[in-house]
Amino acid sequence: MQPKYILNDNTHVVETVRRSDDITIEVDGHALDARIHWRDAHQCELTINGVAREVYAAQDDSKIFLHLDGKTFQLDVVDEFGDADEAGAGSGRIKAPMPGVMIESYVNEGDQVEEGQALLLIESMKLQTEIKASLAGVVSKIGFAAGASFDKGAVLADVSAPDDEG
Amino acid sequence: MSTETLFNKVLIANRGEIALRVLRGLQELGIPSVAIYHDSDRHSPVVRQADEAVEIFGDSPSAAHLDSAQIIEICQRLGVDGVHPCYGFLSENANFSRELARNGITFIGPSAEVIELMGDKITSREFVEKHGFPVPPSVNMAADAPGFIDEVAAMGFPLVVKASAGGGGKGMSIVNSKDELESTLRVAASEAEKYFGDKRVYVERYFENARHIEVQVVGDGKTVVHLGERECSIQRRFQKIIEEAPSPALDDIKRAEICEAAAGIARAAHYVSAGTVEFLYTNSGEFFFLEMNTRIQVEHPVTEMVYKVDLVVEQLRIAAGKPLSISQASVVKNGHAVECRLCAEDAFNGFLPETGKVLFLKEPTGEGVRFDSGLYQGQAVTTSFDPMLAKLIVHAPTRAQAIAGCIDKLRELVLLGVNTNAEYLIKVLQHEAFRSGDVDTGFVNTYAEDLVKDSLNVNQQRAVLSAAMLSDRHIKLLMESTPDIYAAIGRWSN
Repeated sequence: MQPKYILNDNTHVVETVRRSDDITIEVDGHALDARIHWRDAHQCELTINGVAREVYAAQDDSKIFLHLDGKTFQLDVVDEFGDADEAGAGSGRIKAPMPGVMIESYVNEGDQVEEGQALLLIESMKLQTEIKASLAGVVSKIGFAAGASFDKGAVLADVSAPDDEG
Repeated sequence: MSTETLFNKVLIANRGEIALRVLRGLQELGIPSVAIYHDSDRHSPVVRQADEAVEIFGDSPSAAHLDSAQIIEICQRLGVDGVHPCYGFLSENANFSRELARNGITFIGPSAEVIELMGDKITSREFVEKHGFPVPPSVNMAADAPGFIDEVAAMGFPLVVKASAGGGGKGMSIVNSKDELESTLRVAASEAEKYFGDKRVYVERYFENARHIEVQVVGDGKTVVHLGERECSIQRRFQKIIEEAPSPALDDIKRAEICEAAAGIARAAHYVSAGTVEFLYTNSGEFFFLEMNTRIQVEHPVTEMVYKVDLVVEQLRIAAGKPLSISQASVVKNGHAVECRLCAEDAFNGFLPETGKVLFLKEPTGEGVRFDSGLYQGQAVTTSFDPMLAKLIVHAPTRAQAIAGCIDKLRELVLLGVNTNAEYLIKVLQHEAFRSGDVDTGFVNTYAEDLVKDSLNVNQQRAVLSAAMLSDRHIKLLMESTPDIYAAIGRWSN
């Protein structure tokens, strides 16, 4: 997986390549040693190549807001879990950001789910991650059975919002 | 502080930072308070902190705050005997003041007659001129009168066309040549009618390199005291963004002259409550009356900090019929204060409004620091209201220290979730011309090339991108769910 962020209209690839006490990060292919210590949900000390900074962070969907060095920055996450791109904003469709394997499905088709409820456990690139519902509704599709592998961009699940009553 | 009863209950007819500011004044005097709020402000601090809070309704949040009948009904229902209008909305609405009076409720501000006199640019100019105070060269004949265009063009360009009923920078346009004049007049008249319900406009000489200097006055009907001047020349789209007191342009003699003129105008109007007389100050040291604002102003804190006076408390006392608690001899200027208006806007891109949601807020603090704000975590910032979110005011012994303090505190302020002009304000405060006090109302345009966003150095950019990745919710989730044994093997995506 290659997380990408848009800063000042340019897209950058930021990747974790190694993690022990320190994390090795590649920013646009340039390796950095990072250490992060979270003080609370929004504040952390971030040390990059030995230089420590106080950082404040908050996220609203695909926007990340940061405050460091006395300035505020806004970045857009290039959303590879993209549910907004093709199916349109407000869609509950979940696509695979990368090839992987379905480990477990917590819900069945037809189940009513809440926004943020964990739906699936997948594994990609040796990482397991829970996939959560982006909106409340009914699970209309589970794309793969446990153990099945999927390709990048495959539909892992679909959650349909209740019919508009307006 | 006070054992006397000034009011039984006061309703704050506003929202945001100024509603909270007025609530502080009411609390200081032990006066029971009522906040009114539109649904979108349901969770705002003033609603939680006022003794009572009542929801108001309307097609838009602004419409609700302008609905005087609804507000008066709430006053009657809750036994309110005073309304503080703050600034904007109904603050300079003489009919609202009269309607309150008919219902036995005090409008906390000047009389309806004075609001009307000063609210009209033509009548206020005539009044000021009649009393011997300077007004800018102008033509105020009817726009369709024969010879109007020639008369106007004879003043020389540039000119400014103003809506008679306008104010606060709204309804103004600059004309640079005779060719533009006719169409500008036509557009200005139609806009004036649309926004102010009054199509009268007038034309005056526009001074490009002039300063905007205004004087705070406060009167009780018998006595008028001035509280020095404020320099408000840093403006964008005719709206102030940085104000300070005192003005770096005035020496003591000039200061006394301009402040006495302001006090004289207020005396001539038998002014009651706090008010502001705005002047245009040319680089040759001349000054002309622009308008009088009959309300508490956004930038009142710089005066409060320099003169150690609580203007809202004075307004409340005076409205209850008490005399001024200060005299001209008792008020002493002390140090320097600078105010920065924090706005939700893309200042580096035409000051376009920004929207968002307050995800995290850490207000700056410290000695001599005041942060007047109605912000709260979770607040939706929309385009329903003015883009001003908060005001940072720093008071210090010298101007240089106050400016340095503002820069420091703007950096300390953390507001995540909506883009603001904080970085732009820092660029202005750091600018050599600003630091030397060499400012005029054209500052923002004159130095547009200097007032650009700093580019990030490569280390800073890498820090920002690393911080983004490490705080990204999806990545955090991935890292937490990854057993260390895999993470330690190396590159995840081999």
